[in-house]
Amino acid sequence: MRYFIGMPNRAQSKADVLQGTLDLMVLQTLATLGPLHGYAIAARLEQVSAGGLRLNMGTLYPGLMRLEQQGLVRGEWGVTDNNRRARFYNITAGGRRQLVTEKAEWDRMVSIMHALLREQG
Amino acid sequence: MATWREGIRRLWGTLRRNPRDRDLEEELKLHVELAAEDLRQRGGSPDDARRAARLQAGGVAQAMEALRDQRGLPWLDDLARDVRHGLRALWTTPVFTAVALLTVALGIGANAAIFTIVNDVILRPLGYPKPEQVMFLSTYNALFSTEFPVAPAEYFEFREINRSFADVGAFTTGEVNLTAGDRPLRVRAASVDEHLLNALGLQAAQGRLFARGGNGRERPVGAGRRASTGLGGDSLARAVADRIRRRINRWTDNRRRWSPPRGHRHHAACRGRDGPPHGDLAADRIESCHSEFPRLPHPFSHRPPQ
Repeated sequence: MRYFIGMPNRAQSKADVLQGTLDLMVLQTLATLGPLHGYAIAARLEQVSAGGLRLNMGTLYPGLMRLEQQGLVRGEWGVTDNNRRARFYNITAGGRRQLVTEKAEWDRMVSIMHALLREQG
Repeated sequence: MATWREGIRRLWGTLRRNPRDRDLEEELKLHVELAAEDLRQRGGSPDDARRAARLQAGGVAQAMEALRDQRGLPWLDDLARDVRHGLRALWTTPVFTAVALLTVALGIGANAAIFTIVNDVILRPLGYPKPEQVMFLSTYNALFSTEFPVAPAEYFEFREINRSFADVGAFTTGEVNLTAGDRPLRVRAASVDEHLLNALGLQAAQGRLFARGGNGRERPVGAGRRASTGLGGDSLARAVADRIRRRINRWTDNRRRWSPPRGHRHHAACRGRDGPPHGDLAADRIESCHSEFPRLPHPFSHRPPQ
């Protein structure tokens, strides 16, 4: 249990931003690459961000579980290339619809922030 | 929609612990292993790789904790745990539990009893037609700054001067013994005059209740309602009529003597002529009752002994 009095500290607010965008990142990854297990998703995000984005398990797996509970992804047990049992996550039709709207929302937000920061800067 | 769905799934997750801990742990361990393999391939000893992988991926235990929170509804889990803990604690201290249960039971019982009274006396309207028109009449005694039941003399005087009320009746309450059945019964009773029943708008269940005798005395004709006394309707009616006759005759005798019988309190009830007595109207009526009474010789007024 965490309690905040006043403003949350910097590290926490960073994590909050990550939490909000994690759904979008996972959905986009699954929509591009098809079914992946948890580690593959984390590895892909790390690779794309050139090591800038490292998800620990405590963030990634609860996020995946939440997406599954919301019906945006579906997890199924399967076998990896190395013959290991792993849970593969696939994006659902609802997940794709969600991705489209969230992407549009994100683009809008980015353009707003961009315009604002450039103008002020 | 999505959050609604999530709520349902999490409720289900709380109840069934689905997905199971074992599956979740397997998933996390695979994650750590795969991370370690990746690091080893980039170079480094297996031990170093495993340590680095753990560092980067975070602890399995912490992740499991976060997963359990996400799986179910943590507050519901906590609640269930608290309830279980409370029950266990109560079970191990039976004396305390008994005392606590007794206290709660007494509290509920007392509240229920008091509410029953409040409900009957205050909340529920009186069981008479147009109960909002019925008023209780009392006299105000300036000497004691308090209200008293009316004396018979005051009652009869008020009946004569009354213009505000459709009818005024008198009653006393008490208890009587009914011995008509196979066993005697103590029942609550009210002695009334004929005007009270009219004022309250009551009808006899059978026959008539009063008839005027030749000597000016009211003669009860008698009709009883089969009450939950266990007595038959006819015998109850006879017994009630008998009591009423005796009381009423004493009442009319008292009227001649102009003094209240010792230990008896007489009450009067009025019924308004039109509409409910609200606000100033009601106050006016009460005032008119009170202001007329000082003309009467009052049993409590100071008189120098002669």
